[in-house]
Amino acid sequence: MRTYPDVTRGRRLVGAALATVVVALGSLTACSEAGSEQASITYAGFGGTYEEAVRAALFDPYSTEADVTVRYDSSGSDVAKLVQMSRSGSMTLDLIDAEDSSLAQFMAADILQPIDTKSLTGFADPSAVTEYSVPWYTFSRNLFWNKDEVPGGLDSWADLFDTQRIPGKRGLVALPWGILEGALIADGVPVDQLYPLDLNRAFAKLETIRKDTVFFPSNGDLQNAISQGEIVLGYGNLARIKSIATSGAVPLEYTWKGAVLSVQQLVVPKGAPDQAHAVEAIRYSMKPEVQKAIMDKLGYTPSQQSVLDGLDAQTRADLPGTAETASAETFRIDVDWWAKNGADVLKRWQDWQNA
Amino acid sequence: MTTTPTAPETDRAEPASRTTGGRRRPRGWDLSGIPAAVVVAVVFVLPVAILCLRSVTEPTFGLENFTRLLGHAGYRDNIVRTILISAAATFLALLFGYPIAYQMVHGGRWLRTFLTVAIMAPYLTSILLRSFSWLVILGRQGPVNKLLEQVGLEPVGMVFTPIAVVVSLSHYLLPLMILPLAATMRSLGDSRTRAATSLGAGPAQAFVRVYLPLTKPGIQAGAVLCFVYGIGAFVIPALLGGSEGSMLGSLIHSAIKQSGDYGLASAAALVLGALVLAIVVGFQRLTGMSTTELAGRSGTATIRAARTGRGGRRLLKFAGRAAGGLDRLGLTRSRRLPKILAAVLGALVLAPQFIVVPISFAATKALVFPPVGYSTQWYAEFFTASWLDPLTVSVRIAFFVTIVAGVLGTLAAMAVVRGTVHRWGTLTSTLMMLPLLFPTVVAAAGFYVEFERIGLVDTELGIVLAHVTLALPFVFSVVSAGLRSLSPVYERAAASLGASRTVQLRRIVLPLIAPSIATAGLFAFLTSFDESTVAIFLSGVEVKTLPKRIFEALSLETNPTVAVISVFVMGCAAVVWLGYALVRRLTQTPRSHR
Repeated sequence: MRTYPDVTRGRRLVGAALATVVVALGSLTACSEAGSEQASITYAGFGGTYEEAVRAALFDPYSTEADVTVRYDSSGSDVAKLVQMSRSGSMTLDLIDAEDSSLAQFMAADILQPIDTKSLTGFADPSAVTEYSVPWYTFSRNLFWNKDEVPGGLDSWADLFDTQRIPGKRGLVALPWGILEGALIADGVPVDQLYPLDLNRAFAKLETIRKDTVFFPSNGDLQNAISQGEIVLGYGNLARIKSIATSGAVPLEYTWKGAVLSVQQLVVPKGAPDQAHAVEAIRYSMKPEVQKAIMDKLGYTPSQQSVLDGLDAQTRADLPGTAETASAETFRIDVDWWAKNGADVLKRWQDWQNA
Repeated sequence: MTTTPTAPETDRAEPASRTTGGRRRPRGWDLSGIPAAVVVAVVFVLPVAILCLRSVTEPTFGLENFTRLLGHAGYRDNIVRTILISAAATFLALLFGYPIAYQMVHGGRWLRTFLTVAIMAPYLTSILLRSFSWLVILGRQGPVNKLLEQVGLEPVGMVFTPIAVVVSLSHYLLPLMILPLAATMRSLGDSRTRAATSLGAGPAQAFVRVYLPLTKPGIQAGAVLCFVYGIGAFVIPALLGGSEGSMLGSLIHSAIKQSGDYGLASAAALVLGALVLAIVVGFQRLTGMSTTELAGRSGTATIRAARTGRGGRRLLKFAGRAAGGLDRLGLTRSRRLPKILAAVLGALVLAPQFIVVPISFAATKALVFPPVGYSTQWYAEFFTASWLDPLTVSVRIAFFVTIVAGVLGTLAAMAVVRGTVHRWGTLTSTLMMLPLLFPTVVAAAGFYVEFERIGLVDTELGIVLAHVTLALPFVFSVVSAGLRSLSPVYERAAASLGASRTVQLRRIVLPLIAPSIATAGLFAFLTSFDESTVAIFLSGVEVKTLPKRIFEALSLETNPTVAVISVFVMGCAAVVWLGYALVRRLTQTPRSHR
């Protein structure tokens, strides 16, 4: 049979391609096999600058000391997703960073692993410790504004809803807790009579700022938009606000009035692949130096009394939940109410969001 | 990924059986399409079908999700907004695309080359990176607002509004508009316009009354493609739209990922899928163009006589008269004006590509243009595990996808082009092209929900499988085109000399279509490497692809490292493109049949 010149050329090309593929496959399998012997845990937090801070304060030192690799996921606030994962038996996370409202939902859904916390002591507020969780700091969400765009600033939740006096885009995270309460406060409900939440009234009040508000899927998105100058006022996590203010991207100011206080807890989900190391990391997070580092990096209040005792008045004046920052308008979310009604409210919230 | 294979013509499957002088009747390649068909059916069609089923079973059996979706004014608004945004973006793409396409066909050599580059360069850049550019351009501190302030106007909030979505989406859709338009125009030539001018029409009148109606098939194909891809958009509204610019795609994503509300997500996905289907079917009825033709994005295999309705005719007459008026005023005498217009539009299309270069050297995290200071810190940041690991994952996945889709797609192409059972061929090619036409976000939602049950979420295998279905249409159509240009005579000759089918394949067919397979492989690789929608749904902690990492950086952090990747991708695209052109030249010159 006569061989055509272009057949040989083509055949050589195919041969070369095949050789490349074989070499590549070989090297890839070699790649994927390496480095799977060390113990590793996966932590679900909230990404962005929060993750950076938690990494530096807790996981980097823990990882070195215990020789455990830590992997990071940013789905800490996706309660529904985490519940779904646990129920379908496909839990890939070992350690979840949960604020008290999420904790309540996790507990209601019964997806948490009990933790042996007897050996952990010295909490400033022992009542925050549960069978399933260890409080590691107190945080807050505060009203904030861009000094250039909102000269008068904000003094209360009513100001956030006053689009006449303060025009401009408001930024909120698309999670209902705190915001529904804030809407009711703005509408004149006294802080001690918030619960049970009058949902119709809260949603009606929210409707009045819908056109001026962007709801972000996560704290990170909100932070992003604030630092790009797209959002000029709103309500968000204090650590994120402080991070923007110190970076100098935009001149940001915040107030303690109307702040929502919350306890941040560490939990281990049922079916976590490496529960032992997860609990070990929680124990590690109670070390005074870790607690101090969290305070320095995020601006939040340590849960260990010994660390609190060592602080001066000036430091305490800018920490959530201390006597210095408490005011009549500062409040805590009713975790029990949210545990009972959270799922229904979320559904209504989602419908409203898309409306 | 946005790529342009040529359309396979399904109606020409030539039976190879009546040839060999009676003694041996070689069977066709019918069975070789089975593996690819099974993969598409099981990995793509099945999850989507189950997702659709879920819309009436989750959480309880009934139409609850649909009454919730269609009974709630907010969700209805979302559906209407999805259609309106897509329509507006399509219109804008036509407005920009028509003059560009015109000059790409009729302009001088330099203008043609420039416009081709201007269209192709963004086409090769990830939709995520382009969204990043628009975030910078339309931002509060971006060049547009800077310009407004210089003129003494108030800055306008465009990000997180439908404006940003429409602008960015039309930029993304532009090539889909231009390719069919240019193909139609190329097949026309300018003889008819010249005839009209010689009969006394001015340039504007000849254009409006003769040229424009003749390009109607191109406009139709381009508009349908843009519209269909537009309503399935997910990344752009998710990053730029905020709540005001939310579309069905972003609704599906947030319903699944944020609230775990599979019932609502399935219902929304079904509505989106039904919209696409209705548009495509309506289009086919109207023009007689086939689905595969449309999905192949040439839309020009045949230019049908432009039929214009009565209303359209009256409008055309009126426009023609107006154009005649312009001609008489001498306003259209200039032959340079349309060229300048096209060049300016081309430059505008290309500009977002380069805005990232100064941003990549920014000294601060803020997305200010031009940056306040300069540094190379983001380049240093790129060369850390946080970015290089996802890059490796993406490359590895793309490799596997290229191999699997390459083999399956080539076999399927053999089945359709060299098969003997006509009906099988049509079925296979429809199945192969389905993933290209169906909204990726719906498929991604289907993958996520089904893969989660069998533990394939957040695994390389899961992403590879999903990407294979998305890459198959490209491989299939490119290799089919290659096979069609290859005369079956060689195989028949080999068969008559006693070569078995595998020997024919190995020694005759594969070597001859190697260039097509190489091109198809490149498409498959790029499709997977650049794929963001599926990756955003399927990847997590274990497996994080580069697009997923970029999406995180854009939504969770203000991170100029994304600009570095843009620059990096531009460089790579240039190298790959040059290399590809070189390979093509080297392998194709000695070919006689073509």
